[in-house]
Amino acid sequence: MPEGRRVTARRHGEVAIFQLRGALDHEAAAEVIEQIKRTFPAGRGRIVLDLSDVTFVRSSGIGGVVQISFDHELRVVGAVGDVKKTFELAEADRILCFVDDIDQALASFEMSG
Amino acid sequence: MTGSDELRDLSIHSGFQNWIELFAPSHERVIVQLEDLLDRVAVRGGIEDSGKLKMAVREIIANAIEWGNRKDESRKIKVSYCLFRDRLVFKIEDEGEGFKPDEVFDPSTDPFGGVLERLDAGKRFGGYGMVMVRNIMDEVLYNDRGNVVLLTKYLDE
Repeated sequence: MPEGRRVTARRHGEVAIFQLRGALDHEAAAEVIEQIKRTFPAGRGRIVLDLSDVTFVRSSGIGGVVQISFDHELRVVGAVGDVKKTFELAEADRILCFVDDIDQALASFEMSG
Repeated sequence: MTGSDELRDLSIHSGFQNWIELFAPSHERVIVQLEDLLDRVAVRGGIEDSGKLKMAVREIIANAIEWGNRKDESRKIKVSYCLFRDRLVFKIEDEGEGFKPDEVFDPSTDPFGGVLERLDAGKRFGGYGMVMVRNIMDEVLYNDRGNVVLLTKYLDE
């Protein structure tokens, strides 16, 4: 990920992969949501959110991720340790789809047709 | 940054080791300034995992600043902490109008309903802070007005 950027995006076919760095807070989530709107202006898309470089999660960031999963088909990857624990404390892990890595996320989209 | 710089926004009214009371302006930078204090509080309380404790207190302070005092720096937040033999108690107070915690949508019961409710109310996404706090602390109590919250964590014997 280029220095200084909190969010980077790339495409893998019809799937958009967003990678975050540093804090997942309201601002970071809002930035991802804006980029998603530009990527999928017509509506629902397939999205992978890579949190492997996230070091800290605020509740507002979790709210943003839940909103993304409300509007789109979402897989969350790279959430380990305290990052995953924060989602569990917020009980958001019950409704979000966590997978181990990007390959698994892409495979799960293929399996769902 | 020196130690005094780190605490420059905080007005400490009681500085006993087991009883601290301070005032701070309604700005998110004070959350960072309180981190070190919370670490020391956790050590004194014998709490090994200070991360979760800090998370809970941070959420309540952030709510007091954003939703209570509406980020008006002329309004203060008051943060108190008492260490008892068997428990740690935090009291966080803002100067806002307060709210009714029972009337706030609980996203843990209906997450997507919470998304819709916040969109309809014109609020930014969120709503998970209180769920986290309730899962970390043993007791969360609000006063009638809803601008003062008591957080209690019982200590292991």
